[in-house]
Amino acid sequence: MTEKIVSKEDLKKILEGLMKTSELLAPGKEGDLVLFKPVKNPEEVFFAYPNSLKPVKEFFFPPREELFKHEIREGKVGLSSEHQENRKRVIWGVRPCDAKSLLMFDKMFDGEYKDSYYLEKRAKSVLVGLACNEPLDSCFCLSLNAGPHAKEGLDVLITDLGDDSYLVEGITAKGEELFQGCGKESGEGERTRKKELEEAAKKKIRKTCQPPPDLESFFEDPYWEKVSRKCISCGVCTYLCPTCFCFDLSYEGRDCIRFWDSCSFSPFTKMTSGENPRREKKTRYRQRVYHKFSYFKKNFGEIACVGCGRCLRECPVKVDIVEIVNQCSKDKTKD
Amino acid sequence: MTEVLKPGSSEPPENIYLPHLAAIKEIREETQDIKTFKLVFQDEELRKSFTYKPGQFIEFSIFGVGESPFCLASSPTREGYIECSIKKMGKVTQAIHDLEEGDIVGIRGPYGNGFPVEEMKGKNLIFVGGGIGLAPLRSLIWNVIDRRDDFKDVIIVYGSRSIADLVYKDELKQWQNTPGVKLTLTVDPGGEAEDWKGEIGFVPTILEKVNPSPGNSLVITCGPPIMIKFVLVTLNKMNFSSQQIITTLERKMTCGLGKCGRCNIGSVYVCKDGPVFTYAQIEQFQEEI
Repeated sequence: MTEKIVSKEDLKKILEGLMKTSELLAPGKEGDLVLFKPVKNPEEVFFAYPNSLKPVKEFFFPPREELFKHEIREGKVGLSSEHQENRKRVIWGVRPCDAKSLLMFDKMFDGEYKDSYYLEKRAKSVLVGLACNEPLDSCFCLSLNAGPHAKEGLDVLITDLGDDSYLVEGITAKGEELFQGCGKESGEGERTRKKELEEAAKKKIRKTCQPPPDLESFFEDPYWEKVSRKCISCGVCTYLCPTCFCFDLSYEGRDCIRFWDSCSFSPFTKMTSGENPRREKKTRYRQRVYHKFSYFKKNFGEIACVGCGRCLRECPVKVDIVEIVNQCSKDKTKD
Repeated sequence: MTEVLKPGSSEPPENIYLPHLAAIKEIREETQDIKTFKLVFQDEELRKSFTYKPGQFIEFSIFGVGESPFCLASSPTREGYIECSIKKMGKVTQAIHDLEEGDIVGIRGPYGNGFPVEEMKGKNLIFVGGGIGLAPLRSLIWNVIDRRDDFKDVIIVYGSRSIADLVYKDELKQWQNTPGVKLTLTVDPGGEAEDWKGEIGFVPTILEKVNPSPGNSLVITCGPPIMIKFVLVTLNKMNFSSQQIITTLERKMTCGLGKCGRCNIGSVYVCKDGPVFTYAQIEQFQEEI
């Protein structure tokens, strides 16, 4: 792993170069919102932000994606599917929590049935991380094996050291490649500064997520009815969640489309017979909690939450999944 | 770049969502609202190479309308075609019922675990079916009849609301005439006619009357939830253990690949880990089935 120091000017030059050779996506302002979008001018790339409103999952798993087309002519059916563009794509300024979430997506979309739509986008993408120096009150990555300066899932990590200088840590070959031939070697002082920033960022994260080890034993508890009462089943938490991947398939004219769906919605599980195993809101909310903190862990070895805090910040009725998970064992003893 | 997939291409689709094209060879009307569709893949190679286990399912696509999962009702021992028996229930099944022989549909699969056929060898098999629930059992029944020496005695208890609602009427006669197979048919009280020679009564009651022995036996049951519920009570009374009882579960299964997220019961995905489960497994589920 190589480490180097680059200046703000160096970064600008790198961005200018990447704009020519790759599809470059980076956070930019849109009104009050910070969103990832194609870079047209390196000056517009935004660094001082806690996190983007939406996670980067949409670049790998778009909200709406055409899977194939069909054509019926004289009783014959023809099927065609588009090949994806293979141009390199650089996603610049990804926060460590969002990078980690993609590793969970990898587990889902790879495996026995390989989802080429997702995997091709992953293969052609380079993730340039931006260490988080100013986490928000709603962030809780530390308690979920992630952290404000974590490198997991990234190809390279940039830390803003202040004074227009940045520490660049190469993680993979394709990440290091982007910074080839620029900057200077890092010194002891800069490495110390980076450690201080990391420690300071960690200290700012006070929220912790601590699901009880025996979460399964609360499955039938009336607690879920109580805590889900104010949820309006709008699905915002699932759409903004970097680890939520539920989808539906549908035909729109000649296209077969995959689009995001959500376990918050009652029709999600409703069968044509009218039977619906998760008709009640409490069963749907419980599904969301258990999928993240129990089922995914059982099937793939880790909790499907990276602590980005978007669901807490953007929930219109302020449902706090962390509090709900943390409190479920305590509530039980109270009753 | 757009690649048109030729119907003659023998390459398996890399795109896991892309169906194979199949032509409807034959349509049989089973009941007023159930039809059996015999499908033949357009790709000649695939016609030979497509293998599956009884109890597995496919995703059936009507292009431009929608896609739904159905169990394979045919037996893998009968090569060259597949069959699905489909009840008219909603938008997709209505469109399927409107199809004619020669029409082209899309098929993805086979998916799911299927029945544990290997473990069934050397055992007595008791099939308990209700209504269209006979469809997945039919796949296994023909498989067992075609490999008769591998299995011991076969008992089939099958019932429906009325005589008109019994599916596979011609095949029921063939099963009846197969050595080592004992078939009992029943219709719900009021569903009989004057010349009805079968039983009159609900499936669990008739099962009790048939009184199969649990020794070296497995029960495979499929039917409406209310029937299953009482079949379990009856089997319990007859000292069958939950390991000896096998069924297939139903869930909304959109992708069939364990990815779309809706068919789970706890950490188990019905489309991938099922749809076939023993009752010993089902008893471990926290969520209701």
